[in-house]
Order: sequence, then structure tokens, then C-alpha cells
Amino acid sequence: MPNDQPQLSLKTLTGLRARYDNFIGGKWVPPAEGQYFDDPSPINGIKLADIARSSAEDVELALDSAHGARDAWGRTPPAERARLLNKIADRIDENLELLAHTETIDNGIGGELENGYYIKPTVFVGHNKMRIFQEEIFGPVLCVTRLKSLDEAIEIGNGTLYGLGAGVWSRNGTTAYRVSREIKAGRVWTNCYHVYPAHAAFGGYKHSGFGRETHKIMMDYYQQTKNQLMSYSPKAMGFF
Amino acid sequence: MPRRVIVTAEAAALIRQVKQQHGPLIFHQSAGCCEGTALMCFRGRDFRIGPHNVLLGVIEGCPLYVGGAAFNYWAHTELTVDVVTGGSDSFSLEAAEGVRFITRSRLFTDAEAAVLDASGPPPRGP
Repeated sequence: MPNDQPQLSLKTLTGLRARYDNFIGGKWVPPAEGQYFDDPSPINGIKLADIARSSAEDVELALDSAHGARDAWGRTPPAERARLLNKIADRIDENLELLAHTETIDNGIGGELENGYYIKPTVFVGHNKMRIFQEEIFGPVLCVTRLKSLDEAIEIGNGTLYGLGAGVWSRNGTTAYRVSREIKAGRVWTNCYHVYPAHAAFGGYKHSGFGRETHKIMMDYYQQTKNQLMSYSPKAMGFF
Repeated sequence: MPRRVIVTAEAAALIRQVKQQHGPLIFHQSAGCCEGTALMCFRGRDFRIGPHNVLLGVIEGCPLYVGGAAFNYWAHTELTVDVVTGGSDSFSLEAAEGVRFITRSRLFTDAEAAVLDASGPPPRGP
């Protein structure tokens, strides 16, 4: 990236350095091979800093340093560890402004796109009763929850007002079949996702709609059913 | 008793303005996907309330309903009706002005939720 590109004003605000080496054994150590890569802003792609491109040699150096510290750390009494923890907390507190600004940049907010419609891809962890699990909020977000059994997985999968599409992944054919049968969704992708073959019936259970589209059965909605009862007998039937 | 729906001064002013143009209004916060999760503002006579719709509150004299099934998930949420600019591709009446009503959410505290639960479910239907 050319050096004459404008730099983010937030960069000066946050006091980011132009170059970051590896922090090993309490000091900044340049990468063994002297290589760096650009760290671009997620907002506009403009380079924020040079970051050390580490090699196996750097990793060895860091591991040696960690191994060297292991015994001493093992002998460190809990009271001393608590003191260190508080010191770290104090440092975080002290640099709150800087960390908040950095986090803001990391979330893609600020700079020239400050008022743009942008959110960083985010994973939410929670439970199925939360609105964020129940509503389709779109955006680059994903909700993840914990479960203990297959039955609970099916209960969570069906614990929604809707049932348009669902996905099941398993290397066990019985599990894949059983779960995709039990999930109340109009389309269940199994060991695949988001494929839309032309003639596959599409539509939802529950609040996700009525009927199905794209399959030939939907042609029925546009047709009348007529029952013609016709006698082939040349003789009069009853009174007629 | 805590109110389930409150309104910002800006939103209140906009509601009065839209009401002046269109007459009595009704708000509907349905659930679902796409536009379904947006707060919609209609002329009162344009949107028929069914027996399952839940009346969450009245803002600037206009009733605000939510879908009955969705209410279970909204029962412990305080909604604040506010205004933002942009997003004018909507059937909601205010969209013509280049602005949108939006709802901001806050979970009721346990104490507030207990008071609401004790007071029984909010009214349903027209």
C-alpha cells in the first residue's frame, strides 16, 4: 500500500505505533526473518500498522521464554498472583480510553464510514428463549447455544414460531435422517446448506407461510378439481 | 406500573405530524423476518386488528399492537419508539418523509417484570 495514502485520524487518537514487533520475555523483539505485514483498517482498508510476520523461529523463542518462566510462575503464591492480576486490571483501567478506541476501530466504526450501515460479524451465545434467537435479525450475526442431547437439539430446533429452512449436519446417517425428519421446517438441508434446486418444494411450517412454491404441487392451487361421473351404459339409468 | 411502550420527544412530534396528515393511526410491531420485525405505522382503518393481537400501549393517542404469538417473547421488554433517518422503502406512513420509526428495547428489571406479571396479561384484540 502506498505510503502517501491518508492515515486514519483515529490512529493518532489511539496512539497506535507504526510498527509492532513480537512481545517476548517482557520486551519487543523484531521477527527473526525481518518480515512484516500490513494490518488494514476494517473500515476502509487503509493500513494502520506493520505487524511482525513471525516464523517458526519466533514461535520457538516465545516458547522458550514461556518454558523458562514456568518454574518461577509455579512457585508464585496465590497472593502474588492476585497482586499481578490487580496490576493488569489497573493497567486496563488506566488505558480504558485507548482500548475503547481500538475496539471501536476493530468493530469497523469510525473514520469515513462512521455514519455508514456497518456491523462487524458477530457470534452471540445465549439460550433459545432470547429474542435474538427467536427473531430473524439478519446481518452478519449468528446465535449459538449449548445442548446436552439429540432430543434437546430437536426441541431447540423446533422451539420457534417459524419453520422455513433448517440445516442438519452429521456423519451418522441415522442421526441425520432422524433429526431432519423431526425438525418442523419446510426445507431441511442435510449435510449441505442453502441449495435451491428448481423443482424442490419451498415453503414453511407454522408462521412461515402457507403451502409450497416451485414444486409442481403448487400448480394445484391454480386449478379446479372436477369430478366427472359418466355412465358408459347405453341403457337409461334409473329414472333418466 | 411500568409501561411496556414509551416514546421519545422526536418520535412523539413525528407521530403528531403524521396524524395531522393521515388522521387516526395504529402501530403494529409484528415479528418474523424482513419488514416483519419493523414497527409499522398505518392509518387506523387500514390495519385490521385480530383477536390475538396484544395491545402493548398507547403513544400519542395511537394504539401499539404486537402479534399474539410474538408477545410471549416480548413480554419482558420495554419498547422505546424513536425515529431514525433513512430506510424509506416501507409501507409505514412516515417513510415518505425519509425517516423511520424504530423500537429500542430494554429488558425490564426483575422487580418491574414481577409487577407486570402480577397485573395480568395486557388486553388482546380491537
